[in-house]
Amino acid sequence: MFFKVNGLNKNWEGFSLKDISFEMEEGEYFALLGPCGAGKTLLLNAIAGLYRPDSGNIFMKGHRVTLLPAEKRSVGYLFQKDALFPHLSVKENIYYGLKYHQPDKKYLDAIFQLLGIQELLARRDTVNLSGGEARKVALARSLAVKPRLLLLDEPLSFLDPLSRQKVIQSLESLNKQIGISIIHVTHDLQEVRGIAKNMAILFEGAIAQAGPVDKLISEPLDFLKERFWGNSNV
Amino acid sequence: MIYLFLFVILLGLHFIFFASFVDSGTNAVILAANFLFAFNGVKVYRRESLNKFILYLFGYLLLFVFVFLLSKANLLFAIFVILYSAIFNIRRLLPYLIILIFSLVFVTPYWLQVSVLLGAFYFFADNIYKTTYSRFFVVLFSIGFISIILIIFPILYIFLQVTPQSLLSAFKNNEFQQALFNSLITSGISSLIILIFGVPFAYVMARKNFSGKGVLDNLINLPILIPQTVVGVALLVVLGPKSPVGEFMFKNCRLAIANGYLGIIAAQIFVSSPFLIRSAINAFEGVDQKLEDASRTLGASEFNTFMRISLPLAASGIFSGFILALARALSEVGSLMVIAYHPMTAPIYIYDQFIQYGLSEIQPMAVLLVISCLWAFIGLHWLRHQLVRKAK
Repeated sequence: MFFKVNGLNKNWEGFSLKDISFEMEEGEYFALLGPCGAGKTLLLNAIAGLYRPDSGNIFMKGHRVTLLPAEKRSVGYLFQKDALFPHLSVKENIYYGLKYHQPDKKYLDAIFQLLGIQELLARRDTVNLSGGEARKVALARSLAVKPRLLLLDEPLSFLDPLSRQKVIQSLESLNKQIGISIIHVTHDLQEVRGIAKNMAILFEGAIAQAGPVDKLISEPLDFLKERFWGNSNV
Repeated sequence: MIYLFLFVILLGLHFIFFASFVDSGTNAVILAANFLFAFNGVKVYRRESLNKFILYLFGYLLLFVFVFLLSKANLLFAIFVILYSAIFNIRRLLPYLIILIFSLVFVTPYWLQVSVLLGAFYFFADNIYKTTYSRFFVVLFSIGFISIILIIFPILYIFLQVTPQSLLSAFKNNEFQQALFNSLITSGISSLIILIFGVPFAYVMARKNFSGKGVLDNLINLPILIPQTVVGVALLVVLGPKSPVGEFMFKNCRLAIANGYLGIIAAQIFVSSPFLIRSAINAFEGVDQKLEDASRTLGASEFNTFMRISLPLAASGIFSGFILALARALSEVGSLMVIAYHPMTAPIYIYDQFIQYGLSEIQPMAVLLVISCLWAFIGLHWLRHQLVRKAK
């Protein structure tokens, strides 16, 4: 198994993740669905190594990475509000991590081409980027270091419909053409429908349901149906 | 033609009316002023509305009643009339003239200070109103300006008391130069020492939660709470010639801490550290944790993240704290009087001269000290501004 979370528990400022377990294959597009406050970001932080779990383990390619610090995990992370470094230029942002990793010119060009951000590289500051541009720069930054796994925290939030369309297309082709394994966290099923094959539903700090997307949509659990899906027809 | 007519009327008025109040010389000056007033009045009447003209006359009436009749400042009245006639057409300046007249007539001993302060107040209040169109904020500003006045008035007052000659002679005083030099060197060194030790500490305080943090957080403020003389006594007990540290330093390095540069620096570090550390904590708290997280996931270690993200982004705030600490160190007197009266720093020297020679002797020095400190801080702020611009 490429990536596996096993019985992870984490208590943080009164909120707790309870016995989280799921796994995914290499090159898979995995969706993590949950309402606001379900603990999605906390789980991502634990996977990225920004928090150490209280108990449980995280495995990557068969190795236990639970105690590895974030900088040694090779997990890319697209933060919800991009978290671009405001004091650096666009190019300095994207090349930030390459001080610690071997740059791969061909791979970088492929990423830039796919995201269509070549002309943004000349921009001096990141403050004046549009929402969609900033998201793509942040994406390029996290991809530049060739992560083994890419975490996306609400990658379409705060974007206008056109930018959403472009970003989701880029994400799909990153996964299909370059073969990057992705965990996409969202509260909106529509974002990942048709792209993600498997998904897990996080609810109040625990995984309520996991499996293939189609199956989860056709056979939703009753309490999720009421409290999460609402009355909307999915 | 009308001007000639007016002139004749004025001439008559002066012979009959003003002559009974003032001597003929003053009368002539007032006549000239009045003629200018009348001349301008005709122009106002022709070019602008009747209301403006009445307003113009009303202003003159006020001047006449308050300055001429009540204050009996005849020549001043003539000058005001000339200024009023000239400035009435430049509406922006009119309030300043009113302020000047008000201060001269009602607060004569402090007229210069009061008119400067009121002028500044009007300038800011007017600006605030014109940019925000909010009366509420003008009222808030007016309340706040009272505290500004309490700060600025004494400084402004002694600034306006000294002459350039006395400043120059104070500056040529070797002892004062030496004291100023001592002040700048010691406060510079102590602020740098706080910078080196305070910044790492501030980063921990800003980023991590640990038990006992609240106690540490309050300890930072301790030097602000303790009276300065007590600080001096405490330091003297710990570092003085009879203490183990003092004895050790004297035996091995031939260095006295008390009554030496080391003593000055120790006292300055003690009193000024809260300002830098507090600013640095605030600056680090202002850096989004997400940025540091992003840096970590990109492969940067905690140390590299600190150097490449946290420190550059907090630099401007830390620099502000550095300036504050420097200012605090520079102005320290109380603890220095106990632990290191000699070598004298500039504030101590001024105090020393005051005790020996009295108030008039030290005024130019005090002003000089304020000026040199102001220059130092303006320079540092400018440097900080450049840093911020460069960082962007």
